[in-house]
Amino acid sequence: MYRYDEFDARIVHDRVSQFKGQVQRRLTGDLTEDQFKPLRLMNGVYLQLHAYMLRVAIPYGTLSSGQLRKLAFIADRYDKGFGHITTRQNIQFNWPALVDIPEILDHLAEVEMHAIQTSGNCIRNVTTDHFAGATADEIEDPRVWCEVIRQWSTFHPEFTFLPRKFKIAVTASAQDRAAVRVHDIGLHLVKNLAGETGFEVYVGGGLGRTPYVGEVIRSFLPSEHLLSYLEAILRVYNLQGRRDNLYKARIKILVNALGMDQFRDLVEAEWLNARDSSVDVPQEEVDRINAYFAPPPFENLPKAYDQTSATQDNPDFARWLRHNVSAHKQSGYAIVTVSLKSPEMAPGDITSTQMKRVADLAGDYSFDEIRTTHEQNLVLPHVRQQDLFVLWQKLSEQDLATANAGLVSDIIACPGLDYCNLANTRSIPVANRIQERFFSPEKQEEIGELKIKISGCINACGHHHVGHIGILGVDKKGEEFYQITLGGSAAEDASIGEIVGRGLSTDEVVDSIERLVAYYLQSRQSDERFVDTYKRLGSEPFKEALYAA
Amino acid sequence: MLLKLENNRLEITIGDDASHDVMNLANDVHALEADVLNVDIVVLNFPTFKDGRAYTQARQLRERAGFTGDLRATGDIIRDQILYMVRCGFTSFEVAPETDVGGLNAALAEFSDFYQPAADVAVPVWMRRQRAGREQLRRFA
Ligand code: SF4
Repeated sequence: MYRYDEFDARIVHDRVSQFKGQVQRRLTGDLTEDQFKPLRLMNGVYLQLHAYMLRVAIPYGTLSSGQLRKLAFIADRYDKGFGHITTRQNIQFNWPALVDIPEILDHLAEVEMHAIQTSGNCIRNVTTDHFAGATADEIEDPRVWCEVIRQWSTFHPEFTFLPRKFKIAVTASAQDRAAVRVHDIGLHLVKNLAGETGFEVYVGGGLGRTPYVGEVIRSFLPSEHLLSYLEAILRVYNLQGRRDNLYKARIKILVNALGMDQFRDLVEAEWLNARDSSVDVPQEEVDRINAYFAPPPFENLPKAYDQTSATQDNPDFARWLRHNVSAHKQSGYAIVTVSLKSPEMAPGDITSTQMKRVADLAGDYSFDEIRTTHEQNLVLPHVRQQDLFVLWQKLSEQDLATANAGLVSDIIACPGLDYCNLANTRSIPVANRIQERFFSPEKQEEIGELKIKISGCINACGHHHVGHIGILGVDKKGEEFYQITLGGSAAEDASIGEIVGRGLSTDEVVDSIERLVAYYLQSRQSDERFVDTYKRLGSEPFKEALYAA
Repeated sequence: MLLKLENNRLEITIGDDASHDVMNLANDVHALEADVLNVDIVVLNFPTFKDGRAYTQARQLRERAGFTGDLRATGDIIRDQILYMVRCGFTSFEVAPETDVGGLNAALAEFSDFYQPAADVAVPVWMRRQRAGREQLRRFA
């Protein structure tokens, strides 16, 4: 993985000193909360319902064991022993005291981490495929380009006060695990007919109040021009994006208002002048970064390790193999998804003890590497197949082996009313109740892939628009209601779910979802997924099932 | 109060706009459509510190239109943005009379390494890495 050199280290160090000064000025009263707010927001510090929240960047979701141990230490020392993995592959601490934050940043800097640009109207932490560098279906490791983007976008002098936040995601696989089409810019690494790599560039995707699936602005951008093209897009957006209405300020609104053709013309005109400037880093620098992402020293192993004896005696292990273990590009290795979706915990929450344990297990079994996923789980990317059984046993001891990756209980949920001061409703308890209802692993397996996503308000942090089943919390005269959307997807078949009808009360919601699932089970053909059956039959019968009570 | 950038430091100065050609450029005017050829001072506005359009306008004037005169920022100018402004090519600043100039100068010195090129003279980090690499090669050669 990427390691800081003197320049990277100094930039983070200088940022910590600067923020220390800002906190100091706040604590002495030189800055009012109003003046301090934009400054803390540039550094991932939010004022939540009960306390300050600190969001720490995990660039493109890649962590070392040492970094995860440091996060565990911070959770113990400055939080209540928890961390929360976000839908942008970052980690949040919900209870730090403001006075402690500079010290926390010092600790983070020791392990080459920071909270830079995890909030504010700037280019946010770039996200990617959590199987990057491990999956067989990628063209090349997309994290190299993520790091190129990370450096270019860090303290970008022109793009730090954009109309609104700006999110970029990169994937290098046909199977889109990074939800690139619901980002402000989505980058899909492809090869052209001549065998050169470049990007298919999507723009204008996003969730929130007005969800859009991004459209292609350029079907092939030679990779050496990535940064100049990004600058051209950002420049058009910075000048023309709306600033009069917070809810109409994202780039998707601009793209939609101008139409893609006109927007593209503006960008291309801007790019014509920028493409030969020094903003594009030379191949030498790309190669330097690329060297950090060289594959770990894999052993030469036979293609498949025979798990028969272990699976015969352990149906739970067999199930975990089926759902939480994915194919690796290296013969004899596998990718393991560590579920943070046990019904005992808020989705994405992890205790400091679990963090330490995962850090150790990554050291023993995955070349010291861990990933965070936008679906709020962890991944051990490089595990020898012959180690899977003991790894599973050790994860089980920490309640980290729930065999539910991609299944009905693998729910994305925003913090909701339990933490967030914008919330209409709670999200976490609804997630937990659904998980309890579908507790049976056999039942979950029978249902198959089903992505439920829950947001506690229209800001859509829980990505409900792109859930196969989306749940949106709404407030009706002081009471909590839940609006259901169906048929959304964040993957390569990206689509926005449709609202099917009136909101459901807290008491109704879990029963209704169970009826939806029952209807799907009785109507599906062969191995159709929930979302496929929905697309085949349309919303009517599902709507009937939903409100059948 | 008018501040002028000299050798990467801000000094209080007395404006002499009467003897210069000054152009005020609104935020919604495309900088490349303005005729700045015979202008000495272009004034760009930050209506609130959150409105960052003038950063782009400034870079376009400097890097595309080749404007070499004085580029002045007015409006909501806060300490923690002064470095971005300088990097985008601003050379003077109309600030509130009570502004702490020492604080602004301290803010200018908070960072010395920059990842990306802009309208200032800073050499981006990738270029410095290359130079350092070549230097090392030379030493070992
Ligand atoms: S969706 Fe709404 S309630 Fe949930 S975290 Fe976002 S702002 Fe808060």
